[in-house]
Amino acid sequence: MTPELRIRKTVVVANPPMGLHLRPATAFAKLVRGLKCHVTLTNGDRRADGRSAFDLLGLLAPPGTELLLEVEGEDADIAVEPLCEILTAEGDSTDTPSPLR
Amino acid sequence: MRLNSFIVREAIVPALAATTRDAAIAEIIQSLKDAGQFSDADVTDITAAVLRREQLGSTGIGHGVAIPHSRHRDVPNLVGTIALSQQGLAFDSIDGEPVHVLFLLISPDQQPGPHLRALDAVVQKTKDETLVSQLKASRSIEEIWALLG
Repeated sequence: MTPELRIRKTVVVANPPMGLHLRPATAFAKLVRGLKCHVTLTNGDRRADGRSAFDLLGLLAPPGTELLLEVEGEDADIAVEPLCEILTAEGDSTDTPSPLR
Repeated sequence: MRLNSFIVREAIVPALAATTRDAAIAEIIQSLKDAGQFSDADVTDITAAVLRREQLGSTGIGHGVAIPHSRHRDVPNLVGTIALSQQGLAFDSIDGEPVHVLFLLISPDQQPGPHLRALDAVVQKTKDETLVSQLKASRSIEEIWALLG
């Protein structure tokens, strides 16, 4: 029997100026829900199930925060890159690039 | 941050007439305008901004809750309100469930701090599924306001 693939990786949150805010959190949770793997993110003593936007927002992770990403399961190898991309996006993740701003 | 420090009581909508996401957002922003929070001119801009924001990615965070929001240069202070949809709205939420409870937030430009604290306050409150069920069952501003305390 093949052992489940498990990947651990430190990720520095970007998403300026607000970090792991509503849009990246919902995008992250939505992606995780489509994968065959279990994903957790840890910020110090706060731990989030990657499927839960509520948990992810509770990490309180502004830009520059180091998070531990742990991915375990069949899709682990293909999951890490797109999950990291969401966390490390350099664009303004807060709202639309609106002319109002 | 307490929800009742930025939720505008007079703008609470216990039963949305709207049956779509976009119409619901417009109805809630109109309610904030009617409560004296925005000018007529700002309503159009703010509605467009919130809808654009929603098109970039749903703010439906699961178990029937969504937090549509945006920022606006002419809003001096963070304001928000809550609205309920009895029938539920298609919102492309992460769990695919219809949205019954909407918290709409509008914050000043260049002030991420209050915006993040308000967002966190909403998230912490709505993590409690019992509270969300009680909100869904509410039929008046008074009932909703009492649950936000």
